[in-house]
Amino acid sequence: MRPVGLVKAPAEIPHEFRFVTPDKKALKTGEFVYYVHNGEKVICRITKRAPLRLYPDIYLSKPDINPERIIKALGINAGEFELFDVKAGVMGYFDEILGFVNPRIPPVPGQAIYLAENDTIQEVLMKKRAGEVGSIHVGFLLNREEEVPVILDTSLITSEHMCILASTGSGKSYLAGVIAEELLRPYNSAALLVLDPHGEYHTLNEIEGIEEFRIDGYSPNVRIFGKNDIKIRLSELEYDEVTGMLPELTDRMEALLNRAYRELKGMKFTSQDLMDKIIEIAGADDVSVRGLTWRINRYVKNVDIIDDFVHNELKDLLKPGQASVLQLNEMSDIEQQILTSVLLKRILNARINAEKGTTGELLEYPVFLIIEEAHRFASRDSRSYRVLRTILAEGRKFGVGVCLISQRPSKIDSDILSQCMTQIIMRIVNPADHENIKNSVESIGREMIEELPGLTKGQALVAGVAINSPVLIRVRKRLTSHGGLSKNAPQEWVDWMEINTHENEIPKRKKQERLFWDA
Amino acid sequence: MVVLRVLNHRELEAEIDFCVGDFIKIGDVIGLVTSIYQEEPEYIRYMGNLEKEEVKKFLPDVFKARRIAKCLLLCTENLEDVTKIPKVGDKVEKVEDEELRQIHYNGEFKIPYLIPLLEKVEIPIIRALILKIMEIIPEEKDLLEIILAEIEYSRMRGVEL
Amino acid sequence: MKSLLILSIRKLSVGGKMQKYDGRLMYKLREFYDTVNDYYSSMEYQRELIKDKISELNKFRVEVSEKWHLNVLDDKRVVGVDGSQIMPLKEVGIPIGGIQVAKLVIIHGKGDYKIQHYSAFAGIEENISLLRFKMEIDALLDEMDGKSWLFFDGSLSSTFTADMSDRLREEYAESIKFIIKASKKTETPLIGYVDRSYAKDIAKNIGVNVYDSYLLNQTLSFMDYTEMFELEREEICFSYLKVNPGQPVRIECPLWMRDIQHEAASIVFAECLLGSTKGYPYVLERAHECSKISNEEKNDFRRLFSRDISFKWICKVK
Repeated sequence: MRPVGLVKAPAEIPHEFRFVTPDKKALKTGEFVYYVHNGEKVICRITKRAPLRLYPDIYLSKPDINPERIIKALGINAGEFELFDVKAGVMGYFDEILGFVNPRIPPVPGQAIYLAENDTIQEVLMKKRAGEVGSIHVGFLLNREEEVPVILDTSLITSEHMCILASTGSGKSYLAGVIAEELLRPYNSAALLVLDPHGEYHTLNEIEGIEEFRIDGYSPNVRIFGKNDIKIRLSELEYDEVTGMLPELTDRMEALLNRAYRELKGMKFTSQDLMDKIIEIAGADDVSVRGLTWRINRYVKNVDIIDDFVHNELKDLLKPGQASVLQLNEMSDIEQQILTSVLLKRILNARINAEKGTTGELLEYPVFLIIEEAHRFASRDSRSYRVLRTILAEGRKFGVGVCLISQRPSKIDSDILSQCMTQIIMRIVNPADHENIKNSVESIGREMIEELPGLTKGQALVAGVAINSPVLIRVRKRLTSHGGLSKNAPQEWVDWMEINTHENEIPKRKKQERLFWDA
Repeated sequence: MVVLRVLNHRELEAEIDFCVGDFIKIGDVIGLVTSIYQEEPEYIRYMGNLEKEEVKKFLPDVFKARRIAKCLLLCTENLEDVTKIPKVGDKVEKVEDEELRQIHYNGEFKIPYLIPLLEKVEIPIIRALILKIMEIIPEEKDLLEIILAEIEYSRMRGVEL
Repeated sequence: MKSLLILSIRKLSVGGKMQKYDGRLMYKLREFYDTVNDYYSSMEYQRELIKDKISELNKFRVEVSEKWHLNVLDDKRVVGVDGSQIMPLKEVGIPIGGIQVAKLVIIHGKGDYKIQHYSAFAGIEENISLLRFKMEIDALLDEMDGKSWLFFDGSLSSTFTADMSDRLREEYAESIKFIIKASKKTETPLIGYVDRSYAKDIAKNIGVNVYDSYLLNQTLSFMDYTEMFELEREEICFSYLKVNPGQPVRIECPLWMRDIQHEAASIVFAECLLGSTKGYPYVLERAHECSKISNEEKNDFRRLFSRDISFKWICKVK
């Protein structure tokens, strides 16, 4: 391997140094290089790059004149103008057990710097190899033209959670789609639930037709649950879930409700049953009773997902080798909130029961949840806040992992966000969000944050426990199609106009006729 | 018009009636007239109480004081370093504009002797030189303007105002 | 000149033999000083003896006004020659020397002039000085136009050849004869200018053994000059002129110029007044300048031709 540069001197910050290189293309910021110290390859990452010799400003004064011509005319050797001063931070040599060990001695001036080979990068950065059990192939190293796969460790993602933070249009749903695909691969066979407020993930069902997912008889399922497919039976709701659904309850109403609930407990009651019970307790004319029943009608009975009879079994929703996509796009905001909150609680409890051996609904395998628009559910004032916080804090013990996806990370409660130990950050435009990320997400260095505005669609920064060092990636291609395409309004308007101009000729007469009759 | 004295490997004196800033050619060596001095006219020794006119008429051979030009050797015709130094007695010619253009502009424009020249010669001469080259090679006017600006600026920086 | 000096030293010595001492020359300064004093005393003495005779000689004076010399020289065509040489340096293995002669022609008052150079190489077998002499003569021969005033720096009489070999003497004599003849034929005035003359022609006439110039130094005042004396056998005439505060100078001319001796004297005085020292003719001074071979040139010359270095020379130079 030929050296690409030679060390010049330490830089201002400890653990950083400068080296000089004639390279014009390969050594990009974020790229990995190494030098050899005591026989070990000490990996470093390039943080900044600048030309070694700048042309005097005046050489650049006329856009038609290339300063190189001036240099050549004067007989100056252009050598130094073609060199670059590159700053790199030392990560260390990689030890299986300890991770990156910093040698604590800066490289010697004149020491050779090498571009890290693909194998070295894979060995050093990633905990898993492609196709290994428990691996997620999210994409390729952004800096390398040849494809160097970036592999995440599934177990770390599922046990220590992850988040995908990105502005709209940066490709986060696409990336989530990639991750979902990987999770359904035979080497993961995950039990996956996707909360899909925008109806973007239905295309995952194409998996069922794709060869790559089938092996040795294994064949994943994808089930799409629309508004009408998701039902929660009223009697399955916890008391405080019901109270949560009913706004502005007076103390008396609450007391009534509580009593009614207690009396109905254990039975499979309908909303009507509940209302009847309340009337029974206090009488139909009671003001509180009337207020309560009105609320129950309004907020419980008329909510589609709360059904008197039908109830989805968790086991149907979550099963290894199956992805369930709950399309929340047709539900009202309240419904979404209720559903999420209820579902998450059930899932957590089911897992706790399974792990602890207690009674109740059981899920005997770990599960993974992908939550889109996570800021809706993870902000302090959302219904699901508490259960989410519990899951994020303790989910590891019980095998409930989440992937929070959001374009407004500042709205996500920092307690929750900081528990996502793997972060994938794509293009974030809002500066408040930048700050937020910097503060709440560990392990991402300052220089990496500065890379964020430069990311384009399909590029991401991956950091956290699932990978040994933050890297910039380009997301790999999905095998299924992407469901989250935006509407093309102008095109649709034009199309509509085309269709409807033909029909305009006939309605004229019709109009006249009606008038005639009205008269 | 010949070389009178070779002062060192880069400078010589010739008896020529040119101006400062003119380009000269001795064989295949190109040089630049950097200063001119007039030899002390010998007639001072003979003058006594004679008037200039009388000296001119009666001692005509001393009257003409020689104008000696000090020249700096720049490069060869091919813009390479000078290796062979001209000798006393070698013929000195003026370089015409056309030839000057050809020397510097052979497909691409080159003036490699300029930087070493900066250390030996004052700015006005450099300026005149560059202006002259701009005149004969108008295609490179822009490039030369940049060079001139840079030279003047860097000299200006060196001066403590 | 060389031969004359030897002559004098011989005369000095007692009984014709050389005075010899033990020890270094510089330690004998005292003796040398005394010798010189004696010498001068003796000359002094003899001069005193014939003081009267000297004052009987005819002398003339030039009356000069401020720009007198310009008037004299106005429109006069004057020619001067002089030469210089690079002696063959046997020491560095070059048996070849170089001669450079310069001829300066000036038309005073008209601002016209012409400089011509002649050069030659001569092998060690030849006599460089003779060759140079001949070249100078040759240069003047080209100017025999019947009106130019030709100046030659040196003597036209053969006394200076007294100690030379017969062959040499003959060669010199022939050249001199030739040019005198040409001058007479074309009536072009020719002046041989001897500024340090050790001739004793007048002295011998009077009967003393002292240089003429020494003798006349007392009697001639500035701007004085003697009559022209004849040296029949040589076909020249000579005269002494006090052109400068030092010893009088001697001019030698072909016999025919006797008739124009006053004009000749004026010309000589005028040329001298033009010169930078005011005591040597301008045209000869300038010709000398033109004929000079510079040290650089001499070095280049030697460097070009140097082949083998003589070791004798190296240790001498060291």
